[in-house]
Amino acid sequence: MPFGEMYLSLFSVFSMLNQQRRCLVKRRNLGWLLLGGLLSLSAWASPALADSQLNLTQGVTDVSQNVYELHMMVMWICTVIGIIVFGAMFWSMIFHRKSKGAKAASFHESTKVEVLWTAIPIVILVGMAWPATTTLIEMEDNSQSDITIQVTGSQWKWHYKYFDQDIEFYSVLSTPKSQFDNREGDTGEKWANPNYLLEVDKPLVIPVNRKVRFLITSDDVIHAWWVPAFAVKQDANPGFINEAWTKVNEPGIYRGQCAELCGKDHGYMPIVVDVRSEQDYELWINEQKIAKAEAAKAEAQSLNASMSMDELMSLGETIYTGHCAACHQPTGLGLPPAFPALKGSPMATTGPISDHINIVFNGRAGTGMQGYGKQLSLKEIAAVVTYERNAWDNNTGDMVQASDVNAAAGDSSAAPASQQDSAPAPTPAAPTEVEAPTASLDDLSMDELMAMGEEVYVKSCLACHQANGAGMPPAFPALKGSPIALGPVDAHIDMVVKGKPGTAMMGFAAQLTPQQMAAVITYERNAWGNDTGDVVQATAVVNK
Amino acid sequence: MQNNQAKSTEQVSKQVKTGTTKLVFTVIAMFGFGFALVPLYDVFCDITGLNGKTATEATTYKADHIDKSRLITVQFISRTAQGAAWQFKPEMNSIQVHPGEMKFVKFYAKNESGQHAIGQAIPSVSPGIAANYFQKIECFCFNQQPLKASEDVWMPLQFYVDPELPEDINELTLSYTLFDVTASKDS
Amino acid sequence: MTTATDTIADVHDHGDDHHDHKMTGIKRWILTTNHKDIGTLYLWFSFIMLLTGGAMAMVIRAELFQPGLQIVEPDFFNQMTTVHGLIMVFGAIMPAFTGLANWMLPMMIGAPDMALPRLNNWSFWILPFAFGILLSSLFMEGGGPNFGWTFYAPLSTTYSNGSTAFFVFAVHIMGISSIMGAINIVVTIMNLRAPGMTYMKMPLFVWTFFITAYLLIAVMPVLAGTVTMVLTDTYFGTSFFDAAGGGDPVMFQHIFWFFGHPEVYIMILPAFGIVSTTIPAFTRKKLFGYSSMVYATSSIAFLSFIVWAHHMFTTGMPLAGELFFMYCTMLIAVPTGVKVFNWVATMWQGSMTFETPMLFSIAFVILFTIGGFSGLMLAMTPVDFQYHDTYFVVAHFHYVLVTGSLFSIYAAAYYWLPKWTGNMYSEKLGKFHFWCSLISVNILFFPMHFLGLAGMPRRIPDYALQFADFNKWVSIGGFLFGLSQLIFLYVVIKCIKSGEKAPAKPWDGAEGLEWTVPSPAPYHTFSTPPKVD
Repeated sequence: MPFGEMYLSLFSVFSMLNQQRRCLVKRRNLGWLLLGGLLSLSAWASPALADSQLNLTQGVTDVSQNVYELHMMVMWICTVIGIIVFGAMFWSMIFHRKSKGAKAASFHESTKVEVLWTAIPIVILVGMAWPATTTLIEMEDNSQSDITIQVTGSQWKWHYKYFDQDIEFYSVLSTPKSQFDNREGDTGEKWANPNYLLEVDKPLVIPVNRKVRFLITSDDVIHAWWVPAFAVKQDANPGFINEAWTKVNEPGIYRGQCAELCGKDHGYMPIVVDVRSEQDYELWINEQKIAKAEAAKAEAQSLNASMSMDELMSLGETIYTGHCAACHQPTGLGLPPAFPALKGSPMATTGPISDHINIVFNGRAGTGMQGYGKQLSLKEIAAVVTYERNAWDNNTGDMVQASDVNAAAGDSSAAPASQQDSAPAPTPAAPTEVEAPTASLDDLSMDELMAMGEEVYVKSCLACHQANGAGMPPAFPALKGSPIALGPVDAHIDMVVKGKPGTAMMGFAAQLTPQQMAAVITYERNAWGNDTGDVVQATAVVNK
Repeated sequence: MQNNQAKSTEQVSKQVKTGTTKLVFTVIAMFGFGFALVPLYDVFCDITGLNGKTATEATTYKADHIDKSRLITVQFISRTAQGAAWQFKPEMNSIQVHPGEMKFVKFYAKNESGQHAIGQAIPSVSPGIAANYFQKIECFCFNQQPLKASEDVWMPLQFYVDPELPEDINELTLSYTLFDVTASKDS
Repeated sequence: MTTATDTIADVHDHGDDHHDHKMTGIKRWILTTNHKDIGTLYLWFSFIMLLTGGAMAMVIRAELFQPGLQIVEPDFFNQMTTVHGLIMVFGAIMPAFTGLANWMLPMMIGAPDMALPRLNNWSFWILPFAFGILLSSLFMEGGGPNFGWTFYAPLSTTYSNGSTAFFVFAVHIMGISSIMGAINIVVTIMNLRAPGMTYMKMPLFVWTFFITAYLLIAVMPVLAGTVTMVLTDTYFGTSFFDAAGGGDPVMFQHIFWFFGHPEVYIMILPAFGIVSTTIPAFTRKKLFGYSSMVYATSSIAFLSFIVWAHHMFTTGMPLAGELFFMYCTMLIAVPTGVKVFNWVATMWQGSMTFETPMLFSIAFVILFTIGGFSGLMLAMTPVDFQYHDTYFVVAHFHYVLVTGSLFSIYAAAYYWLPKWTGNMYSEKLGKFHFWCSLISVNILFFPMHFLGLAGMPRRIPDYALQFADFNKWVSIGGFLFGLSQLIFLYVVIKCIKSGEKAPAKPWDGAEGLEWTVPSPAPYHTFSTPPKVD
């Protein structure tokens, strides 16, 4: 900002102070000046100015309103006490001064007075503690929420994950670096940007009038998620979760910032919450789901596509500037030792490409290097790896395609979006289900039973009793060589059908067909060297 | 303490030395106390449920009844820490339980790092106060999970919610963060 | 003769050869066991550190003069805030108080010297090395500590820039220095009081240092333990604060603040002692409620051990914990209030004059009380969720530490300069220093309240546009305040070199044994203990 403007603002505040004082003060006296200052503070705090930038925000939730009122109450109590105490001080400073011929009195104690000014503050404090306690109890009541959102901080961005919705995304500062890094000259663009440093690429979207619960945690160091308008500030501790909640009364866009020093770019990880009407929120949820499906499609296509060196380098540079340059610097020289140089580093030049991809994709434990597998598409990772191996005279000539990333990072053959197929997608509150039950009671051959039995065992039993049948004693006993599997067939069937009360062994009658149970019992009695030779058929299970 | 008029320099010197020795011992004791705060903090957490730390060892089923009148939602969150190239997720996002009722949930983990790795899941319960009432009979978090490259595993968690759970809690969250501890185990 | 724990008696028995002719040149200062010499060393050292830490504050304020990154990059900004904090706390305020204690305690209780003179020498001379290590780390690859003076794990452990070892060793040495100084103060007060000086006859200044020394002995070792854990977590694979290994990063904050909160009182209790000395002197009236002052100081010291977690309300504490720490914290307002009321009652119906030490003392009472008010506001847990880690907190602790501790140190320095140098300082320049400091310090710190309320987080190198106007004010106030402190340097040098000769007791209302000896105080005082009635 030009100096002229600065002086203007200096002048305006000065004149503001003067107006406050002029009516109060005539004499040039330190005391009056200070008292005037105190009064102008209380004038600043008056309701008319409540929404100005001089005071705490009232916010848009009931809690933030309560917090604001509490703040005003304490401020007024302090102001009144201040006026009394400082008033007495200035009175004696003005009237009990030697130059006016004041003679010192000789009193130096009074139990009565001292007890009094111990007791009165205690009463005042109790009066303050009461409303503070009720507000606090309300703030800490996280129960009965409508929506749960997992908020994860990492250096230096926020990640939001909607519980039960399969929606998740990162939220990163969107103010261009050219606006805030002015060390090589200031274009002054920032002054035209009202949301300078308080804007993100993807804001968190929540509905109005719904209790939203935040589960807050961190991937690396401690962060703090703070939105002043909600009066929500909670630390994000790595490895632990914290809870906070809000119920917003008015739609709008609310901005906050990380409030706990989290390293270099602590000042550059803002929070933006877009509070929408319930219908708009539903619309948004649907849009996200469609967008997600399309992204998965694009990801799959990128596996077959091959990009030219120029395309890779130009995309790579964009990604590098956006995600990597803050630490590794645009020059690739990094900020050693915390952020190592990439220029000329073995990792980015002579080392195997797969290791390079792996670090970018998964991050490196115990360092500031986070994994970008969830943040960037395969194509983007391919491009940035290519860029790092060829920029700043690294010139390896290596070209990395999306399919290479896919091959090196996850070793499965599918893209990350579809990698989830290798594990069952989480389904809310559903017990383990095994295929569509067939009601068949036909007898099967030993081989058929063993094949089906193994399949059922893997899905329903393996987690506890383990692949080798050795279990995890004492909670999950071994089946290999156990009396159940080697003893009477009936007891074994009974155990599988009904379970064993008081233990983790549940009855599988509701989950498995008789044939499946027969198969798995057969399997258990013949696998791992149990070799009883028993063949159990579905009819035997039904007859039980 | 009233009067040190009659003290000779030797007496003063002796008193100063005794006093100094006592204070030096206090300093050493307080240094030790700093470290004692670590176990004390754990005890404190156990009592108050501060920070949602759960027990690190298996418990046995001790509930005397199942409280059918209450239904608690237990949410599961699984996260992988930085540098842990694992897939890690619960078989379900949440489950409803009556206090006292035993439940069994599996978590899926797969080592995608392309090399042998050891994982350690760290649990955290929110609200923290509920941690004391979340009883784990068996949990994969009690042990480290060594997995070969591309190996996957279903890991068990068996738990119940203590019927003594305070009335105002009807939703609790269990979060696991899976750390790759291979490096610290190998070295 | 050779061990650090040689007592005053030992040193004097054998030290007769250099009893009356002190060594000259640099050797005098390096080898001195004289409490006045060591006091002088402490005071000069702390002033140099004040200017060093102040220079860093100037870098911070220059960067924050307008939005955008103009001068330094964010990582260096973080190093500046961290080292500024460490230097001001451990390098400026604490050694200044130790220096005052060294100079004045023996004279006030009628002792010939501190009880452990050699230890005294050692506790000063390791300090320059501590700060040498700390400052040198700024010039190393990766830079100096950048995790805030509170060094929260895991930012200071797993994610540090390699400066952790230097930081830890520097803090260890500072801690050892403080502990030795504190031990010395305690044994001196317990054993070397003049005949007839009972505990309840000690000047309040002595009392506050006595209590402070106990606080130091209790909590500095805990800090040493904390930094040791940080060291082993960073370099030796332990996981005290690492969730992956079963540790807990929040535990760091509990242990740190168990040290940190008493530390806050270590930096303010001696200030209470100072103004309780100066205000009666310039009011020409005895201190009101001496015994309640002693009890209030003791109860503040006690309460300081059970309020630490009010620094951590947002870390996810259970409700019961939040309530307990809120109530305890609010309780501190009671004894603190008693002190303020007692000072006002001391002034009431006095016969006041306003020399520079009195001006600084009055400013102390008012501005410290404002800092106390914001402290009371911060104690309210629900509202603390809004204030926490904003500039409101920055304003609060700077009101307490700059217009509190630092102003009281200035009051003490002006009050005893005649006794130290034998010359009167220039009253005109002293008042000039005061008024410049008073006005600039309020331009500097008062608008920070508004910044914090409007939502500006602390420790950020760049900020949103709505904070621009106030930050400009704050920076201007900062530069002016920084410059104003150079006036003090000039006043002191002028006072040492020239100036009207000071009588043994230049302040007609002053009381205490230190005024019974000539000005400047002779190299050895009270070799024969005075008699106190």
